[in-house]
Amino acid sequence: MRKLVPYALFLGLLLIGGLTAGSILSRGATATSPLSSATVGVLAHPAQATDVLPSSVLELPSARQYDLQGVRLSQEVDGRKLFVVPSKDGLLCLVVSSATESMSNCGAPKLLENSALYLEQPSDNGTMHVWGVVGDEVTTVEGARVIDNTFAYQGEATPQLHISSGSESRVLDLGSLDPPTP
Amino acid sequence: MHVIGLRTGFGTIHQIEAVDVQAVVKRRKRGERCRPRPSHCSRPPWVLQPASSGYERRGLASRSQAPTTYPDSPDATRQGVAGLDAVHNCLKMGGAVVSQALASVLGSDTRSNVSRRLLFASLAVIASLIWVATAFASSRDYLWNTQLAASWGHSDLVSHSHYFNSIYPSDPTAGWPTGVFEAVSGGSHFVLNGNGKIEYSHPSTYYDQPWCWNRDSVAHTFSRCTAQW
Repeated sequence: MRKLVPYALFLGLLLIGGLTAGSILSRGATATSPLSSATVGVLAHPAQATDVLPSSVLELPSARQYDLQGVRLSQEVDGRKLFVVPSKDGLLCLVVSSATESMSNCGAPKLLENSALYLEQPSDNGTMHVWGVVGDEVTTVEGARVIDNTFAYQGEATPQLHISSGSESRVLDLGSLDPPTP
Repeated sequence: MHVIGLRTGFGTIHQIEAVDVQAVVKRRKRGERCRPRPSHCSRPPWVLQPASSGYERRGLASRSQAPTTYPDSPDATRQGVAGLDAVHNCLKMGGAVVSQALASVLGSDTRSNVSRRLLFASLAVIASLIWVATAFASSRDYLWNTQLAASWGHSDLVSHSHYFNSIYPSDPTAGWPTGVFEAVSGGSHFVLNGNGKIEYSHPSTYYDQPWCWNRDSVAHTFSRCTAQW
């Protein structure tokens, strides 16, 4: 009987060690902290006279769902206005408007925790435009400045962009960009 | 009278009637009297009692289908005859109603001729309204609650000078890569990609087809793709 005691102690210690290691490993596996909060600070800015959607945007079907009081003009770049628009159905919308075109993309604000809400448009010369909304903590997007929660990228066509917040970084996967051949 | 009305429109019921005549002849040979009309006559003829269904199926199947069940015992045959009587009486009543209705609309007197003309005129008006609505529509949903395979586009291949194209994922909160574009044989244009509900309004430059596409590497369901021109 006495001979068995050391073995039992050894097995007990082994069990405790295994449980501890497993706990630490499992915590490590799920410890992917979000890149950013889903909050969009520009929406809390006081409304300005410029925070008005153009009439062409108001003709979009989604405009019926826009919370027009919450519209904020984030930035104007290359003749395009980037608006951040909260939606009455709980979605967040990025609206890009120029003299001839209006585009919008509405999605869940939760997307901003690890990604961005974006619109991407290829150009004829092989470059591409990417406009996006990011959470408050995102400081940089590869090749673009973040101004009031939005960024506008224009450059070489790429399937992904890197977005970072302090020491954290994520890949914004833009997915397949070439339309299927009809 | 009712037999003629039924014969013109409902061949299968006519077959039941023919089988029933044989059954009545057999009953008369046995000296039986016709049964009174059953209380469940108001039911449609295809709602049948289980006991009689086998025989009636056989009767129905005698001309049009292979028989499914053949009751062997005399009791079963009697139950079948009773069921057939019920069908017969129901057909009599239903046939009379249908015949009267048909006669009122398609009869040979002057009043029914006017009714017939009115009927055709109203049908023509309805058809023309549908045609006009289709021909002059300026918006349509070219996809509705459809699953698109990975990296798969959809179009109804109808060309117009479009100025609007959109795609609505069934779950706009999921962040699936989505896209819209327009295409003619010369290639695609007005391409816009994103990761949610996308709407794109642009100048109507090309006479082309609207497309929406699932840019993700797995299949997803999309509630709607809409184009305007």
